Amino acid sequence: MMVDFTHMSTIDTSALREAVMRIHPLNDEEMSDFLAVWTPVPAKRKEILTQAGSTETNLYFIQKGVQRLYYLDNEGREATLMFSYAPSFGGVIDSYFTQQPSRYYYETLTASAMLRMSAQDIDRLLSKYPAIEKMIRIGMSGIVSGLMERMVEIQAYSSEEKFRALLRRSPHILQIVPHKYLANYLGMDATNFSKLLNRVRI
Amino acid sequence: MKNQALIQWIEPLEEVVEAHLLKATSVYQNLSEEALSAKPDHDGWSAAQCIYHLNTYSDFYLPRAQKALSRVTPRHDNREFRSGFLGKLLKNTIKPENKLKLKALKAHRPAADVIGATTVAQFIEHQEQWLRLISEVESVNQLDARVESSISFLIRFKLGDVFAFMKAHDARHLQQADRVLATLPEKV
Repeated sequence: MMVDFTHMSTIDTSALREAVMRIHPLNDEEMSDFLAVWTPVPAKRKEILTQAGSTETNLYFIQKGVQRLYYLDNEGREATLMFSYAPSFGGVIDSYFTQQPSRYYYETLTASAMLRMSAQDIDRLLSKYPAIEKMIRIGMSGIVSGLMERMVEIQAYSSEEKFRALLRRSPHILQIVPHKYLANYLGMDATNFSKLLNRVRI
Repeated sequence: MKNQALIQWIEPLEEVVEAHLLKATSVYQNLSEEALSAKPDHDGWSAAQCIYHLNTYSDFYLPRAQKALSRVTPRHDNREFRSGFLGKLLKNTIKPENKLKLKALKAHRPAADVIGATTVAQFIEHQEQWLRLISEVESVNQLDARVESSISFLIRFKLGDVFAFMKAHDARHLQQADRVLATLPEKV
């Protein structure tokens, strides 16, 4: 029987390579081992990729589409914590690295194209290559830094400032994501959000 | 094993929902209240009213389709979906290609003071729920569940027909909304 390698050549890892190089440069061997473990995941709109209570098995690299990480409890309280979009990483990162059950859901908000890497693969690469471990450490610091910045916005900013900060970071998000998710991310109700939208637009 | 015959029925409908969601997120939800509530003429509907009219139907059929779906027994064959007589007739009457002007039933006529932003948000919510139902169809592998109709308690439609005429109806009135929006001057 012939071995079919065709699926390997169709994976476009160029954006992933660039994203990694921006975080911390890897040499050829490290990079080719790192890129070799990713597999493509196409997903439709509103597919739940990780359920709360289950353990995150994948780190995602987003090639197309928008996803969100959110909290939802029995009382119907919902908190959108983060959006992910190309070209960046996504998934329930804490659950992925600790291999403890996730408290959060991770879902697509639009049709998406992603690559994914299993927790076993990253474990093996981290123990084998110090440079990959360093790259991940720097990448994680970037995530922590983004979260801290967001905590400042949540605690200190007015609604309008939060709204403007979101548009500064992601200018096209208003046309891509249903506004209810953006309103939830900013911690305001839909009516308030549309009032701000009308005010800021003019 | 996937049932190709069933997928052939449901996939084009899923694509319609996706297209409507793309349009609602990229265009409708970003329009001003003024644009959404502008009327083409004295008794024509505004874009917001067109969408509101669609919402009244989703409000009716979504919970009933959900109920019908939760009651069926999953099937394991590869049988294709066969449209019922009335379901097919309804779909052919309301599809956008049929230019005949139809009068909306009283219960589904929009009020004069519809709020555009809320209406669009609700439309988006509904479409996401339709997508969820479509994904549930795959696990029961059939579209024959009987759904209570908005016409009479004596009439029930097959779920596959409900999907089809609802999406044809959505397309019809979104096209109407687009025609209204196209007549507006820039920067409304």
